[in-house]
Amino acid sequence: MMILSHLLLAAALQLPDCAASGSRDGVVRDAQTAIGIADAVVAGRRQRVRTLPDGRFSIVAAGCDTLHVRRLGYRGASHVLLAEGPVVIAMQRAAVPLPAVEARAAAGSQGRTVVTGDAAEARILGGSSAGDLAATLPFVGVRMVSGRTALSVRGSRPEQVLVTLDGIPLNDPATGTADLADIPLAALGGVSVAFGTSGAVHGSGATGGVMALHSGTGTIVAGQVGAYGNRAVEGAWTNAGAAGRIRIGGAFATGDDDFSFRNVAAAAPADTVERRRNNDFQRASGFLTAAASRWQLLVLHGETERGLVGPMNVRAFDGDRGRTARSVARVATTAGPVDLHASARHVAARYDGGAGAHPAFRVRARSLGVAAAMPVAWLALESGASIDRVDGSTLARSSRSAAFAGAHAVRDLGRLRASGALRLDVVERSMGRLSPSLVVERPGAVTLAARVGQGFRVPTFYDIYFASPQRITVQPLVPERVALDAEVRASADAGCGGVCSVQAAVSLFERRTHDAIVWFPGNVGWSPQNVPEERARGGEVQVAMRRPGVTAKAWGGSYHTMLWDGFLEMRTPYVPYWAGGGVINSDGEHLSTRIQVTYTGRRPFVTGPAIAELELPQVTVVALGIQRHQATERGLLTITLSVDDLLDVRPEFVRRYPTAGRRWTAGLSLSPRRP
Amino acid sequence: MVLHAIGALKGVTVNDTAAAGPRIALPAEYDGGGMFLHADTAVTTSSSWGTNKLYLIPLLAGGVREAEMPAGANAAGASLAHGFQGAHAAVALRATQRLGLVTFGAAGAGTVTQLDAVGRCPYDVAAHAGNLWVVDYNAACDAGYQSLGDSRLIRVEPNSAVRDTVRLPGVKNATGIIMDGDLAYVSAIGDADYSAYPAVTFVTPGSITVVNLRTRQVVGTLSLPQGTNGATASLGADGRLYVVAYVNTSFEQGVFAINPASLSFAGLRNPGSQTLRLTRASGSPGQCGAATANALGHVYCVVNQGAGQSTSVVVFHASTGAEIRTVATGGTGGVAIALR
Repeated sequence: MMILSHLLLAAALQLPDCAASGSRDGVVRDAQTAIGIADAVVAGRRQRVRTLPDGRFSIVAAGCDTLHVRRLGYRGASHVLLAEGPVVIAMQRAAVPLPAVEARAAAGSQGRTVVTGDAAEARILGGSSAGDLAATLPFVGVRMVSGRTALSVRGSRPEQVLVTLDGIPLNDPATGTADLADIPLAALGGVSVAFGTSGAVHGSGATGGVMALHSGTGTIVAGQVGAYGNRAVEGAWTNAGAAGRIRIGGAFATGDDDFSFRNVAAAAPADTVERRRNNDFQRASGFLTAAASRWQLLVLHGETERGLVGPMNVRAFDGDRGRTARSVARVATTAGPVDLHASARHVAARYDGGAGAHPAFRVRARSLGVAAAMPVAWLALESGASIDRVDGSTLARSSRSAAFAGAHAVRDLGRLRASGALRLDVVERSMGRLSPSLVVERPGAVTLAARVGQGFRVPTFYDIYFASPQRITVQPLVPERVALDAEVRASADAGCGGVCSVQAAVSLFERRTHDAIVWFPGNVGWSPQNVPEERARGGEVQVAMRRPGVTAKAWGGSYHTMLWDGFLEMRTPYVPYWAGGGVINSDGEHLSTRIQVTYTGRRPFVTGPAIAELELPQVTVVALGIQRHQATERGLLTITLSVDDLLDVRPEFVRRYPTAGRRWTAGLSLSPRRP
Repeated sequence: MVLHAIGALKGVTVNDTAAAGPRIALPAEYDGGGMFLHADTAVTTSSSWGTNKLYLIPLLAGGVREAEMPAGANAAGASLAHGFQGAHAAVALRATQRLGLVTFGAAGAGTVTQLDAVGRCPYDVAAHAGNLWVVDYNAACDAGYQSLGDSRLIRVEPNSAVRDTVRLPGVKNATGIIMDGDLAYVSAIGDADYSAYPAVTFVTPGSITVVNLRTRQVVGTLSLPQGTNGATASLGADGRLYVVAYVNTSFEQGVFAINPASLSFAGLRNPGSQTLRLTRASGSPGQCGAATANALGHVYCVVNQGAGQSTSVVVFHASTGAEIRTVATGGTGGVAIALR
C-alpha cells in the first residue's frame, strides 16, 4: 500500500524513478542572458561531457543524480535530476564577463537590449570577416570604407563602441576604434551586442555599447570566390576530448574591388562612369584557441595590406597604401574561487603615400592587462590593471596605465530582480572615475525592465596628440562622461499554437554625455574637442517568429542625436533618423536560405545642422544567400551562393565613397556537421 | 562677404551691415583657404585632397560655375584674368608648377589651359596692366615644401613666352598678392618647424613686401614681429593692409594694421605689441580668423566660435577698439572676408 501510494505520489509530482538510468538531454545557459554556454563541463556519477556551442549536452545519468557543472567565468552549478524532460541549468557569471556562444537571438537581458548572431549567418551571405558578421545584426550600424569598419549603436560614434574578443578589448588605444575587417570569420563562433553604457562592467570606452565577439569551435575548411577578384580560403581544425579542446586555424583573402561606379562629384556637365583604382587588399591570419575546465587560451595574428583609395573624384590618394599587423593573446585560468586572466595586444600600422606625396607614417600600439575575479558571498568582485603604449613617426612614445576595481550583484526581490554594479577606474593623468549601473527587472509574460547607468571614455592617444596645438585656443581634453544612460524595456515571449514561438520587444532609451570628445575640422587640419553636451535618444522595436526550420525577424528604430557646442546644434554623422530591417532564415536538412533587408534612413554625413544639404538619402539594401548541404563520407559539404545589394542600389555608406552594387559570392565548405 | 571653408556650412555668405544674408553653398569637401573678390564675382579654389576645383561665384546672378583642375595640381590662389588670352580666371597650380587659365562657356564646366615657366611653386596670381603676376613660393611644393630660395614675382605676358622675374630678397614662403594700382603687396607666411610636433617653433615671422610693378622694383619689406607666423592679408577700404597671423605657438591669432606707404604698423594697438586692440562686448580680446576694414578704419573681424565654428562678423571701432556690433553669418569656419 505504501509502495502504491508512493508511486502515485511520484506520478503526481512527476518525480523520476531514481533507479532508472538513461540518456538525459539538457542545456546550460547564462543566467543573465539566457544564452547557451559552450565548453561547460557537465559531470555526473557515470559520465562527464562537454556542452556544444549552443549549450546543449547529452549525458548518461540516473534519476535523482546530481549533475555538477563547471565553466571558467561562471560560478559552479549543481542540478538534481528530479523531473523528467530536458534539463535546463542556469549558471551565474563570475565577475569576468566571458561571452557565451549563442545560436538564437535572445530577447534581452539585465534590462538592456542584446542582439546576437553567429558566424554561420554571415557565411550564408558570403561573409568572411567579423565586419560581415556585424552587418547581419539588427540595430547595429556598420560602415565599411577602404576595408575599415566603423560601428554605431543607438546614435553612438565608432569610438564609443567597445569591441572585445573573448573578453579582450580590441579598440586601438591610439584611435579608440576597433577594425573588424581584419578578424576572419573562421576564428569566430558568433557575436553578442549589448546596447547602452557598460562602464560599470567594462570601464572606459563602453559608453555606447559593447560588441563581444567570441571564438568559434568546430572543424571547417572553406573556399570562396566572388565578384571583382575576391577570393578567400579559411580553415580550422578542432580536437576535443574530455580533457579539453584545441582549435587551430587560418584564413587568407584577397580582392581587387575594381568595380565601376558613377562619378557624380566631377565638374563635367554629365556624370562619368569610372573604375575604382587602388582599392585592392590582401589579408592573412592565423589563430589558436584552447580550453579546458580550468584554463583558456586565445592567440590571434593577422596582417592586411590594402590600397587607400580616396573618395570619388579625388586622385590624391591613388598611390597610398596601408599595412596593418595585429596580434592578440589571452590566457585565463582559475585558482580556487579566483578567476585570473592576462591579455596582450599589439597593433602596427604603416601608411605610405604615392610617389611625390607625403612621407610614410607608422604607428604602433601595445597593451598589457591583468585581472582577477572572485565571488564573495552574493557579490562578484573584480580588479585589474593595464598599460597602453603608443609610438610612431613624429609621435613621441607615450604610455598610460590604469587600474580598476568593481563589484556586481544580482538579487531577487520578490517578483523583481535587481542587478547592480559599481566600478572605480583610475587612469593615469585622469581623475578616478566611478561608474554605477542599476537594473530592475520584472519577469513575467511581459517582462518589464528599467536600467540606468553612467560611464566614461578617456581621450585616446590621437585625441591627446592632435588636441594641441591645432585650435585657436588650446584646451586640454578631459574624459567624456555619460551622465545618464537610461532605458526602459518591455519584452514578451509567447507560443503560437504549439508550432511556433513569437518574441517581441520594445525599448526606449536616452543617453546624455558631457564633454563628448568629437573631432572637428580646424584651421590646421582636424582635431578633437570636448563638446559640452551630447544627447542621443530614441526607440527600438523588434519582433521575431520561430518555428522549426524557419525564423523571421523584423526590427525598426528611431534615433535623434544632438551635439551642442554652445553656439550650434549639430547631429552625429551617419546616425540615421530611422533604420530597420528584416530577415527570413529557412534551415532544412539539405537547403538553407537567408534573405535580409536593411533600411537606412536619411542621415547627416557631417557634424552639422540637420538640413537636407548635409544628408545622405535613404537606402534599402537586400542580400540573399542560398546553401545546399550534402552529407558525404568526409562530412557535410555545403555549397553557398549569395548576392549582396541584390537591387543594385549602390548606397554611399560614407559620403562620396562608392560601393560596388550588386555582387555575387560562391563558396564551398566541408565540416563534420552543419557549420 | 565671408568665405566659409571649415565645418558643415561652407560657402560664401553675403551679409548686410547688420544682418546675415544668404549662403551660397559649396560642397562639404571644399577645403579652400582664400578668395578673390572683384565687384560681384568671387573666385576660390579647393585643393587636390578636397574637390580639386576652381569655383567662380557670381554673387548677384547666382549659380556657381566649376572647373575641374588637372589631376594632382593642388590649386592655390586664383583671381579673375580680365580676358588674359581669353580666359575668365587664372589659378596657381602648386604641385604641377603651372598657371591655369580657366574659360567658361555659356553653361557647363570650365576648361583649363596651362602655362609653363611660372615658378617652382606658383601660389597666387593677379592681373595688372594686361599681364598676370604669379607669386612663386619657390619651394618643392610637389614633395616636402623644402625651400629652394627667395620667393619671387613672375610676370607673364599674354600670348608670349616672355617672363620677368622680380626676386624678393630675404622673403621666404610668399603665398599671396594684392593689387593696389601699380603696387603689389606680397604676403609671406614665414617659416615654422613642425619636426618635433606637437612642439612647434616659429622660426621666421611673416612679412609684407611692396613691389612697384611699373618699375619692377621692391619698394620695401616689413616683417611681422618675431614669434609670429603666417600672414593672411586683406586691403581695407581705408588703404591699410590688415594682416592676420598666429601670435604664439598656441595658435592664437592677432590682427596687424600696416600702412603700406610707410611700411609701418598702425592703429590702436595692445600695450607692448603691434597687434590691434580689439575688445569684445564681454571684455575678452577679439580673435579674428580674417579681418579687413571699411573706409573709416572700423575693423571687420571674422570670429569662429565653438567646436562647430559658427561664424560671426564682429565690427570694432577704429579709435577705441570696442565692439560695435556682431552679425552671425549662418556659415561655419570663416577664413576670408571682403567688403563690397
